[in-house]
Formats: sequence, C-alpha cells, structure tokens
Amino acid sequence: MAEDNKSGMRIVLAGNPNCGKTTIFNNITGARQHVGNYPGVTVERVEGRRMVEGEEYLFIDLPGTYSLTARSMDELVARNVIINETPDVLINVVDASNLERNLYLTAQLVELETPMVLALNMVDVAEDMGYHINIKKLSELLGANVVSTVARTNKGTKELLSVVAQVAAERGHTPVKVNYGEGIEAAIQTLVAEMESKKEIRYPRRWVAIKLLENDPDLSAKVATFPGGSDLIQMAAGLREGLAAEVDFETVFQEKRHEFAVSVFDQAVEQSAHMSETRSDKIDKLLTNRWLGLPIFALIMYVMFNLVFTLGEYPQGLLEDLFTNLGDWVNATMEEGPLRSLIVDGIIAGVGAVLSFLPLILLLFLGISFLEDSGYMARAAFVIDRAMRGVGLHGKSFIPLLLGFGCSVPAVMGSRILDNPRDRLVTILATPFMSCGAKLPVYILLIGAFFPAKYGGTILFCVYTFGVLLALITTKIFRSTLLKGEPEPFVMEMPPYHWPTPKSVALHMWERTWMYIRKAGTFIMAASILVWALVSFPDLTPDQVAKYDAQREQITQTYDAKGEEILAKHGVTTEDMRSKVAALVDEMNAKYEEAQEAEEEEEPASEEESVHDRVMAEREAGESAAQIEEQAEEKAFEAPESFQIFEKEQPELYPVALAMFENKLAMDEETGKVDEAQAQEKQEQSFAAMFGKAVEPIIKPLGFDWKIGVGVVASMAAKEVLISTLGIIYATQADDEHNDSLQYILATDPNFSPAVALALMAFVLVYPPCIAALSVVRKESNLKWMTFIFCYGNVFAWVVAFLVYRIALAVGFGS
Amino acid sequence: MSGQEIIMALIVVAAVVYFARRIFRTAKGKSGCSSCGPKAGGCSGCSGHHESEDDKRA
Repeated sequence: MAEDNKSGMRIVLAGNPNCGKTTIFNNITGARQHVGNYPGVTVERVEGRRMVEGEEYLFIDLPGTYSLTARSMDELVARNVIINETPDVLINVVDASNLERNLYLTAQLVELETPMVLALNMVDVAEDMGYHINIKKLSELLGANVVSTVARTNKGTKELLSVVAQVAAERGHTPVKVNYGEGIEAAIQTLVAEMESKKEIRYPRRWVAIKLLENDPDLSAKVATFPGGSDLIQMAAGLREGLAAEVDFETVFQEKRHEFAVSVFDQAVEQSAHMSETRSDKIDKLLTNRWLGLPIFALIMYVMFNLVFTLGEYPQGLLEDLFTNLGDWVNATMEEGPLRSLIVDGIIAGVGAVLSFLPLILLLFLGISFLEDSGYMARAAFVIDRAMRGVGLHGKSFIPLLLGFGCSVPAVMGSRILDNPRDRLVTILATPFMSCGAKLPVYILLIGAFFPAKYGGTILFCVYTFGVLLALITTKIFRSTLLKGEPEPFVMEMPPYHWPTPKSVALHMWERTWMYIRKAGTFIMAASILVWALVSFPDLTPDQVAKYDAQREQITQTYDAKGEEILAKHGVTTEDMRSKVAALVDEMNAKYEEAQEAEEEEEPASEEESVHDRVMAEREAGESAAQIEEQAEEKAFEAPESFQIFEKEQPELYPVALAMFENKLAMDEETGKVDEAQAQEKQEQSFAAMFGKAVEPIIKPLGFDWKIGVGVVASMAAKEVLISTLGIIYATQADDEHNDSLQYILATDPNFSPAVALALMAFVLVYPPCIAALSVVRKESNLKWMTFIFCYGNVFAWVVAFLVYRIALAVGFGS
Repeated sequence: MSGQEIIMALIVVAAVVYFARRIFRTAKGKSGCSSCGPKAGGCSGCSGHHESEDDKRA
C-alpha cells in the first residue's frame, strides 16, 4: 500500500481506545469501519482515502493505545506504523472529557517528531462536565495545532481536514520535549551524539535514545540490526547502570510523562468550582451496582432476545412466503428438468431458507448496536468482570467475546488486545461458545418449529446464556490444566453514556444486513448448488425409473377404467357428450385450484403463532397425522361453493362431471404418492445420503438422522449452510405441488422432535467455528491449537448434545 | 444432453470452482471472514478484521 501512495499525503490517526478515532476516520473517508462505545474495537490498521484540496490523502486508523511501549500487539502495530511509515501528519485524537489521561499518550507522540494535529474530540461532553479548555494555550504547550471536534455528530471534521492540509503543506514541526531529569537528559544527549555517525538509524534520535534507556525490547532488536547498533545498545546499558543508584528506571519514564500531561492539563484547562455529578455517574450508580448490576444485565439481554423473536417472526414469515411463491412461479413457468430443479430445489430452497432469517439478524444487531453505542457494553464488561476473573478470564476478554456474538473471526483477532499469550489463548478457546450471527437462524428455525411462540424469546435467551456458562466452565477447566495462571488485573474505562445517533445504528444494521445478503448470494449459494448436486445425483437407473413409470401407467389405466364406468353409468356415450363433460371437469379443476389457494391465503400464521403452534393445532384437530390422512380418505369429497354455478348452469352434466372430477383427484393423489416415492428412493441413493448414512451411526445417539448429519458436516464451511442444506434435502424429496416452509416440514417430520431440536441447538452452539474462524485461530496461535479447537469442539459438542437429548427425552420432549 | 442439462452442469462446475477457491484461500490463512472473503483491501463488512499490511505484502 505504501508503494501505491508515494505521491499522496499519508495521515495517521492515533489516540487512546474509545476516544473516537474510528468515528473521525469514518467521517473523513466515508468508510464504514465498525465503531463501538467501548475500548478495543480496532485491532489492526485500517486505511481509507479522501481528496483534500485537490490532492489524494491516505488516512490510516490505528488501534487505540494508552502508551507506545511494546507490551501488547496493538500498541506495537500503532507504534510501528508511525516510526516505519513516516506519515506526513499525525492526528492525535484525544477525549476532551478525559484530557489529562489522554495527554499521557500525547507526551509519547510528540517524541516521534512527526508534524501533529490534536483533534480535541468530545468537547461537548467536556463542557457538560464543567471543563473549559484553552485551545490556544494547549496548542502552544504541545507545539501542535488543536481542532475541536464532536465526531459523533460530525462537527469539526472540515476544520480538522483544513488544518491537516495546512500542516502537511508546511511540514513544520515544533519540537516539544518531556523533561526526564538531569541525569537521564545527559544520558540521552550522549546517545544522540553517538548516533550522529550512524546514518542508517532513520528513527528520531532522541526517541531512540529514550527507548534504549527504557530497555525497549522491540526497538533494541531493530537497532541491533544496524551497523554499530550493538555498540549503541551496550552504551545505553552502561548509562543505565551508571544511573541506577539515583534513578528508578522501572518508573521514571512513566512518572515524567505523567508530570508532563498533568502540567499541560493544569495550564490549559480550567475546571468549574463545583463539578457536578454527571448523568453518566448517576446512571452508573444503578447499572453497575454490586447487587443489581448482574440481574439488570440479564434482564436487558432477556428483553432483547424476546424482542428479536417476537418482532422478527412476522417479517420472517413474509419472506418465507415470498421465496415459496418464487419457487411456485418458476415451477409454473419453466419446463420440467434438472435446471428447474437446481433453481427451485437448490438455489431458491437453500438461499431462500437462509435469507428469510434476515429480519431477525437485523433486529439482533439493532439491539447490540444500541447497547454498544450507548456505552452500556463497557458497564456490562465491568458487571461480569467478577465472574470472568473467577474462572480465569481477563476482563479485557469481554471485548473479543462480545464481538463473537457477531462473528468469530473478529473475535479471535480481537484477542490481540490481551498482552499475555495465555490470556489470549484462553479467550480464543472461549470464543466458539459465543453464538455468532450465523447460528441465530438455526436456533430460530428450530425454536419456531418445535416450541410455542410465547416461549421463543426465553428459549433463545437460554441458549445464549447456556453458551456463556459453557464458556466460563471450560475456561475454568483450561485455566486449571492446560493454561495455568492467573489473569492480570484489569482497569476498564467507562465511556460516558449517550443516545446512539440513528445514523450510527443504521450504519451498523446496514453493515450486518449487507454482509448477510452478500454471504447468501455468494458463499451460501455456491454451497447450496453443491449440496443440491450431491442430493440429486446419481440419478435412478433406467430399470428403477421404468418401475415407477409402470406404477404410474397402472394407476392411469385403473382410473381411466373407473372413468369409463362413471360415464357409462350416467349414460354419457356420444363423443359430443364426452367432450362437454371433459370441458366441465377442466373448469371445475380451475375453480378447485382457485378455492384451494384462497383457503391457504385465509389462514396465514398470526403474528403470535409459531409454526409449532400451527402444527399442534392441526394435531389437536386430528390427533395424529395418520388419523388426519385416514379421516381425509374416509370423508366424502366436499365440492367447493364455487361449484354451485356449474350445478345451476348445467344441471344434467353436473353429477357426472363431479364424479369424473373426484376420480381425477384420486388419480392425481395416487400418482403424487408414486412421484414422492421415486424422489425418496433417488435421494436415499444420492451421494449426500451415502455420506450421511456413513456418519449416521456416530450421530444416532443424539437423535440425528443422516439428513442432519449432512447438514452438520456441510455447515463446517459456514453455519448458515445447515439451514440451506436441510432446505434443499427436504425440497428435493417433496413433489413440486407442495412447497411448505422448512419450519413446517421439520415440525411435521416424524424423525424430528423437540428433544432432537434441543440436541441440535446444543450441538450447533458448541461445535467448532467455521473454517474462516479456524484459519484465523491458526494465524493468531498455531496449527496445534487450531487442530485442538477443531477436535475438542466436535467431541465436546457430541457430549453436550447427547446429554441434552437424553435429559430432554427424560422430561418428555420426545414427541 | 439437453439445454437444461448443459446449463445445469456449467452452473454446478462454476459453483464447485468458486467454493473450492474460497475454501482454499481461507484455509491458506488469508484473513477476512466467509462473508466478505479474503480479498485485497481486507474485509469491508465485519468489525475488526482487516487484512494487515504484512498480508498484503506477502
């Protein structure tokens, strides 16, 4: 990227976590990088471009850091960008409401001798808190231009860009020094003088001298690679030894930088005599209360999941209908053949099943975005920190784990904010238990099919909570066995509460929506086509096809003979009469289909009724599916009201036409059964079934059949593939006339039961993350840990699903 | 082979190639989730995981 932008300006944004860097970056570049009102959202550099005064500028957003030591990976990323890529201007974003602490990083940035602009962000909050900041004085003390901004409402961005352009054009830099005291300053001068002859060292010399005296391992390693670098390191070590008696090198640099920050703050900021308790302080008294904090957190989550379930169900049903109608339309307009089957049973059934859950994804991320942006999530981290520490999880782990509810990939990468490799590994191991967005549709599908709507939200909440509990239990086990050690203490900054802006929330929702649609349209579609091919091939042999053709021929002959009997019985003998009867039967058929469609439209699922409720109502009416069928067979055919017109207009022909129509219906039903049996046999010998049946013995104890087995294995690629796979398997075995929703099909499948649904949800909750996440695990740790997570995840998922299934059977969820 | 069979076969082959390429690139360790894909410039939709400078140079 550096090569791409040799002629343009390079501007770097640096600052403390949660000071608004990414929001300013988004405001400048029009990018849509994720922002959250809690620290640690950005863990790698992010780039964006913008034309400023006719020239293209490259903006680089760095991870938020409190210092520029080499303690954690995100700090190193930030520091290396500034020293290695020599930006033209450094924008130091500081939180004006927490200026004194933010200036500690500024004290280190001024040492890098890069032209700097200070973006004094959140000035509105600072003013509310009673701070009056003298911008001119602050600018003088830091040797940098200062611009006030309120990133959340995009105030001050234009002014900031204008000042950045001016500083970039001047390339001026006013040197400001942090005074480290007589002894250290003398040592710095000695080292700087020694570096005069070492032209290869391209870094700011005073900064290199300070870092060598600080014994910074990363910089020492870099300096060692330069000619004469080792001598310089030895000289620094000698100077340290010489000063050891009068200076405590462990603390002196931090103390002096802190003194600098306090001095600048005291000179540039006036505080109101009576700093009142802020609104955030008042809210925190309740939300972070020692006893009430945790129950309030649980209540907020419970309400959120209930809202997701109840509000999302109706639009989900509409989308389901839309895809069903689309499938019907393709069936009606396209000639029968393998391409039509691929489109209807593969793409529409697979991708449609996944896309119908879009409203629920949208609602979940609306809730999470709202909580993130409001500042509540940082309180949630504080509230559950005690429980996390109890099992050995570092408090900072909350941030990657929270990201895990969206996607495991950023969650695993987010573990970089942890300094200790063991803390990082423990966090990575806990991440799969945080149900990612892709698992949500699987839960909703099964809950809607097997449990009453009124308990849907509660069950969903329980599934997520179960995941969190499993994460805590397994972490405790890992902390006492494989990854022994105590987590380091953690101090988390509480950002002020604020109402999330509609733009920010809409942006988050759009991010997730677009991501879901794009995934469905690319990866899931490709997977659906593959699964369809595996379910549809190999085709039946000519002998098998001939067997079913013979059965159909037999049925046709039988019913044709019955038809002849009916015609003879009613005295229809002439050709003219026969064609009149045939025409009337055709008209009846059209009316009958219209009546059937109208009946279906009259019975839409109510907003408060799940598929389970509908199936239960149907079962109550007929007690069992078999009984319903039996009753239907026994019951005489009831002509729809719309047939009255035929009775009135053609009273002589009506009885014979009605008898012929009934005969046709019976024949169609018989033929349909043969079609279904043929599709079933074809599927049973497909490649997918062969594979599914091979794994069936392993998953049988969990109540899973081969179809679930295929779905579970296919979903290793991406979790949503489980839904598309089940959608395709059931669509290919159904006849073209009956396109019920996947939820309805599962709810009426005798191989499924609430116990199987619970076991499947438990399995999906626990089993290893998708391959993209596993690949990131390998990158962030190594192949050994990736293999461990894959194997242990599968075994543990089996054990948990087995226990859940057996318990569910024992308490009566077996049917 | 009928027209439908030819088109169906082409679609299936294209899907196999696309799927295999995505899996292979992901397994090779290019960052970016399965939603955004490991493409140049990194994942644009998801939070936090953006292709690092080192990846791009590699």
